[in-house]
Amino acid sequence: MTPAATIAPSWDVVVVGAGPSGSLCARNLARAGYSVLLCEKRPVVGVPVRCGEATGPVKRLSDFMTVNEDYIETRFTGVILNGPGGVNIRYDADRELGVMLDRRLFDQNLAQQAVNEGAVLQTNARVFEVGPVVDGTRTVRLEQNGVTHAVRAAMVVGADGAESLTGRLVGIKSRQLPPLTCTAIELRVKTQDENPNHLTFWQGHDSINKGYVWVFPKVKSGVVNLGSGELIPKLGSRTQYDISMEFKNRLYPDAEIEEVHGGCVPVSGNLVEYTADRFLLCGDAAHHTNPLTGGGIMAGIVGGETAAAWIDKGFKAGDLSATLLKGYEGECWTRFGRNHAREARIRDFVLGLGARDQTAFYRAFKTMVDGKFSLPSKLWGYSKLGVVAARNFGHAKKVFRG
Amino acid sequence: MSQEAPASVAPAPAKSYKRPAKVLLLDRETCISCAGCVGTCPDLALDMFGLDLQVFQDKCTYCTICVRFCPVGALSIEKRAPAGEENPVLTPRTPADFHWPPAASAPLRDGALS
Repeated sequence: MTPAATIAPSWDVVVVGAGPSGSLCARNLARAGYSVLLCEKRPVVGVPVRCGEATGPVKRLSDFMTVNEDYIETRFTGVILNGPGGVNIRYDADRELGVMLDRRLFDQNLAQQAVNEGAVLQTNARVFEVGPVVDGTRTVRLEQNGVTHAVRAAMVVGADGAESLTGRLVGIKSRQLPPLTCTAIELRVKTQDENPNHLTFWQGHDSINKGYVWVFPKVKSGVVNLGSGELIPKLGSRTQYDISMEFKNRLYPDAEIEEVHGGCVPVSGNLVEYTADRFLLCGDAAHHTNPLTGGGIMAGIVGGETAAAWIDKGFKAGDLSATLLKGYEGECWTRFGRNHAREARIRDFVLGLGARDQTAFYRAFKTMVDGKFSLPSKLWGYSKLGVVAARNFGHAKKVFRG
Repeated sequence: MSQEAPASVAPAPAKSYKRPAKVLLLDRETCISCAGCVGTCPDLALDMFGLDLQVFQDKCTYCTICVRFCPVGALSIEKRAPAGEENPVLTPRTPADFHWPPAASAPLRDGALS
């Protein structure tokens, strides 16, 4: 991953950001025979880690890439959800629900796959300007080790994560707006959790209402990711660091903290518009994050793959206008955006409930989980949920309308 | 140097409002370089250079979104000290807890990148 001495002035595609989404998009485009420049502003790909590292099962990951066992930390088979009012929901599946990744290795592996396919990776390369379309190209200016390079690209992909600047440079409204953005922090604690095959969550009025606290065990590395995330709070509230430390002191008082990392989680659901002429956003930059769980690896990967497919289509048709790229937005909507929008509504409904109704909601959900979603438990649970919804009719109408 | 030097505040251009006598302070010891604040800033007053967060005081409008966002409380808006005086230096809260930079040089497992 040593940077080349010079950067060629002209490329088919410039991908900004070597995260999962950008790397996957770059890999697929390079494989299709386009010249791809992959820019990463950090000195090392994958460092610092910016997320909780839990994602979908290997079976689903392997639709998009050859999965390397080295970055699979844990295959979790269950979820424990500690709700308000002492309602503890424990769900054990007899199959793998998902995996914990070592994101540093995962990101580096994906970037390496892109490089192996012929993409050129430049680290320490900070893109600070994306010009308008002139003669069918955009000029991208990037700064690397104090030297400014200007490259021309027929297509620019902004995959620069939640703090995306490329979108805003092009005029896309991709800023993280306070009510729909989470602030999150994670402590990597050197210990083992008593439930190494479960993801554990704390949510609700008894812990934090506008977000959740999580414990994700990483067995292979012998650490536990303990973190908390919350919708951006009011000025003067407790910081996420304080909340996480409180839980850390409660759960693992003697364990050593190996690392602290944090980040910004867009939980608004897909942006309304994230393409322009010869430009598109994918991954966190396009808010391709699950608004209920805050997980964005899988949606980012799907978004990256979809973006690569549509760019290929655009090059073949000789048309990379915003009109054609609307098809990419549409496909993202059908592949995951629609689900995300629905989950955002569920989240808004649960977070807006009072303590009593939230407990009733969790209790109804627990009935269904404990009954393994059998018909009687479902009937009972849904009737209880109906009672909660009826009691909060105005709130439910506001959240689920339209 | 654990704060932005107030001396670097550029004279405000002719605007219709008076710039408030405030300053956005960044506690570099506490900052964990997560870069989340960059995405929340409406005025592009924050940017990451590698792993280093920079504050552009002349762009900041003191909207406090980044202060609310910061998960470790490294950002704060303070009254700007009068000319000739120094702004209070922010003391890091618990520097020992923030292991930064992380083990970027930690060895990779064999074959992990193939």
